[in-house]
Amino acid sequence: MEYKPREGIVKVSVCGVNLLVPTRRASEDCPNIATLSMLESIFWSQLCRGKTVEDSCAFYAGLTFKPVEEARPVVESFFERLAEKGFVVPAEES
Amino acid sequence: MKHTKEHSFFKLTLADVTVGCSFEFPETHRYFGDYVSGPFPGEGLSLSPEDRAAWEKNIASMDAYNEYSAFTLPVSAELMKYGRCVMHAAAFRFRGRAYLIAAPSGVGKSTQVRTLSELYPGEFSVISGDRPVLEATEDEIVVHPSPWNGKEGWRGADKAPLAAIILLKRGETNTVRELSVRNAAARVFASIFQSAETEESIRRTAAFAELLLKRAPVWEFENGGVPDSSRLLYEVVLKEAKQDGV
Repeated sequence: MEYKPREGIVKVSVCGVNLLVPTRRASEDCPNIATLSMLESIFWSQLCRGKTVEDSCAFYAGLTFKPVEEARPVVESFFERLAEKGFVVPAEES
Repeated sequence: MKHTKEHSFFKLTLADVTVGCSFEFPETHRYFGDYVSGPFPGEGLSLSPEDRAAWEKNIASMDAYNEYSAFTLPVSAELMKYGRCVMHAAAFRFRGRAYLIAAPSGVGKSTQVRTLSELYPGEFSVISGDRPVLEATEDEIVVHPSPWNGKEGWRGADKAPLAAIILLKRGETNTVRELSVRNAAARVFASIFQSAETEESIRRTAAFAELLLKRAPVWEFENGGVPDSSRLLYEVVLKEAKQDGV
């Protein structure tokens, strides 16, 4: 599944720790703060720049010298967790 | 924001910063005690419709007490422009330094402070029961009292430099451990009052959280029950205070 960032989510760095924070208008559907690893932070930034989940899978595969099939579950599970918490929405949703 | 004639205007002074406040309810200023003086010439802070809506999720209806309580949001946002903010924590003074016990409402911040004071009389004094004002100076964080002191109304008079932040949570056992910055960042950030209205306000809060994490250790304190948990906290606090040469 492809996703896009929910409007009103802000990524901030606190002492090098990347956090996703909802603005008030986004907090109704996304009430919590998420802590991202460095890799997850890259995936988030890629999504914000319009890259697809598949692009991030390819990026991660290249980074780890793994086949895309092995990289995909890592990337997909990250975005699924973000979707459960409301930080991303399906790309087809307006 | 435009106000009706019915609003009352006061100066609110916290941690040496004075801001103007516009209260909807004529009795609201009384809850601020001698932190307010008046009148304030011109328009001051007031609850935005968004602040109000956010606060009204947890209350039956807006009244003077709830306006006073909700004013934490615009005041903390305004104070951040001056290197200060309001934090959701019980603040106490021990051996000349301040300790913050942060947790959501109802987790037991006040119980810990009360139990420590009962177990070790005379060693602790309260700075703020619920929402101290934090000031970032060049090399330390100073913890100030505030008019928001929780249901106990514990209000201190003295400010003190911050020694540590203790993130309290309920648990089955009593444990205290120092947290890595990674594990502490989100929880410290979330303990700072902010409107989260804009990206800029979130970035300001993040900058303040970063200062806190750079200048004070953060402990996770799992409370399995007082008074044993308080004794454990005391031992950790004492040990750290001695190490700091206080």
